Amino acid sequence: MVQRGVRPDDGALLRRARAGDRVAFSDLVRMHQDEVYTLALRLVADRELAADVSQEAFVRAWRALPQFRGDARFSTWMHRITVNVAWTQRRRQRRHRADPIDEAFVEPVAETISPERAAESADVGVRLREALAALSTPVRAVVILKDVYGWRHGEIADHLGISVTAAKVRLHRGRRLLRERLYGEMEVDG
Amino acid sequence: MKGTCLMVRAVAPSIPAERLSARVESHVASCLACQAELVRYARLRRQLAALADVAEVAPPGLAAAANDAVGIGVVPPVRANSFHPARAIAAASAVAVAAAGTVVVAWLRHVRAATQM
Repeated sequence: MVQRGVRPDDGALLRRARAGDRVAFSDLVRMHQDEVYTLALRLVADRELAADVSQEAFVRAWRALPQFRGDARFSTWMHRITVNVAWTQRRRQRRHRADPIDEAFVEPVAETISPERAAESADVGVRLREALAALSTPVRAVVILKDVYGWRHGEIADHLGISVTAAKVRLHRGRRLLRERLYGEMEVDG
Repeated sequence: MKGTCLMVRAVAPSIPAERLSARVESHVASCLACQAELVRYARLRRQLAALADVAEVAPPGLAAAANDAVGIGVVPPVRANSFHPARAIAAASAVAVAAAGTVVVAWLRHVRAATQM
């Protein structure tokens, strides 16, 4: 786990890569691999699959590079590609196996965090990542894209192939589940 | 008040996008439990947003695999000042063999010259 630092400008490398310079693209891959892998891992919650998604995302980026107009930052563009690849992989997997917790609005199996366990995992970041990983994939994807990466509901809906309303409902559900996992049962004053 | 508290809990995950009515807002102003609940969600949103600045380290072979997949067989540039023990040993061995060869050749010439005399 690393804190992201200042990255050198992608502009020059991008221009060279778009002109077919493979070494420049290789440098872009090296510079962005952690960020792409992180997003993939957050979406699919599986390290091996995240590596496959990241690799495929870079392959698609290389192929689509001539069409990249530079309207968005390269990292933003890579994020979009990564989300698309992750979702395509998920669809492929769902064709091969029935995954009940992958359904949009099915509550994931409750995994209550005992007080002892909560005390052990004092690191908030670790607990948050565990809580995120316990969410169903469709709910987690919306929470990640909205609350971590700041995407708009419309963008999320477009990329995940759902309605804006569904995106909002999943976000609401995801935040509520995270809150319950991180802070325990709700208290209601009488 | 329990009903209003439940109402606050129901909409809390969608705040601030979801606005509270004036009646519910006045309840929150006087209900510590509801205030605490809203604070928890605000903290959760901050913690999630903070993840944007944290990155996992990609597996070591990812960049190489991606480069291979797009047909980029990039050989990393060798640094001028880099020291590789294996290469140093190989170079030293080559020098030693060459030196030994030179000595042997010189000795053979010397022996041949001595026998011709």
